[in-house]
Amino acid sequence: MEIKKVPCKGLSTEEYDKALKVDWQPELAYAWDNGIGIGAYLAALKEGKILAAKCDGCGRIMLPARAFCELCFRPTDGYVAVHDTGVVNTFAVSHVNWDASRLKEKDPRHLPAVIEIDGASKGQGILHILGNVKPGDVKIGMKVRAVWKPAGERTGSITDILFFEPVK
Amino acid sequence: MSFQEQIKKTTSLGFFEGQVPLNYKYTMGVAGERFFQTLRDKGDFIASKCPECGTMAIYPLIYCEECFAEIKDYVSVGLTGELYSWTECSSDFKGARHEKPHLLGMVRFQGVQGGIIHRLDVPLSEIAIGMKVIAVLRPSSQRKGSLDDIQCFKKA
Repeated sequence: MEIKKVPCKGLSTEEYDKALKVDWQPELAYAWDNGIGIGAYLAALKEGKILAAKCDGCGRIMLPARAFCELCFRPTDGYVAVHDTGVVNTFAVSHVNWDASRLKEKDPRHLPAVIEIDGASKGQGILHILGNVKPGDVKIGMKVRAVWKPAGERTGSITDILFFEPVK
Repeated sequence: MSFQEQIKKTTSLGFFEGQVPLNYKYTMGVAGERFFQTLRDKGDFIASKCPECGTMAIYPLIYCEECFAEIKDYVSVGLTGELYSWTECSSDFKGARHEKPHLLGMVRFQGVQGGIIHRLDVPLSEIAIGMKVIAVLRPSSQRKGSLDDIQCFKKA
């Protein structure tokens, strides 16, 4: 059978604006189970502690706490509380919000960073944000410490730590 | 440890709630646009008619499903059709109960493939498969070119 030219074309912006459309917002609500490892980690945050899991197979102290060691592929062997201080492993200066909307000129920049936590194995860290520091002053390897929400306001979430600030 | 751990108190189960922000605008397409424009402007239903095999379809198509021919002809089929199937619906999209169950029906048109699914305004005792029904449209000033331009189908 001869294939004829498909009788369709893309729409220009004007044509799209004029076209009849179905407009819909599906409600995509979800509840995500913390699980045992992360559950313990988040419960500890509420108490103002950072909890790691240890593996007796490879000897690592892993952060965040988890139920199994992904290198040894075996259950982890217990939880250990680590310090709430660490060093900046990597960071970024973000000029946009999480929804990609631009920050205004006078707004402070977001400073997402991976913090290697003291007491955990080398390279084990958490992604958080830096505060009380100018973007230009952030250095990799810089010592930082957690600034916590007041105990009464903590909910068992990673946001129980407000940000990490430089240790003076 | 961890694999042997159990959470026995269900109230201590933790979870995070969230909402995925998502919205879309879906265009009706070439034939769909024509169907809903005709509904809005003329208050009529149109079907596509294949120039090669004569197959008619509602909602109209731009190619024939039977012989793949390109379709450029659209014919009026009027507002009266036949009830092909129906159901009673007691809750809405979100699961909330309707005060009174809604009646939904699929209406087909003589000699036309496909059909229109819409609300039925027919007393429960009088519903019969195969009965003639007619579309009740909103006043032309309120029609927007959407399926909601049809209020319901009632007994013809």
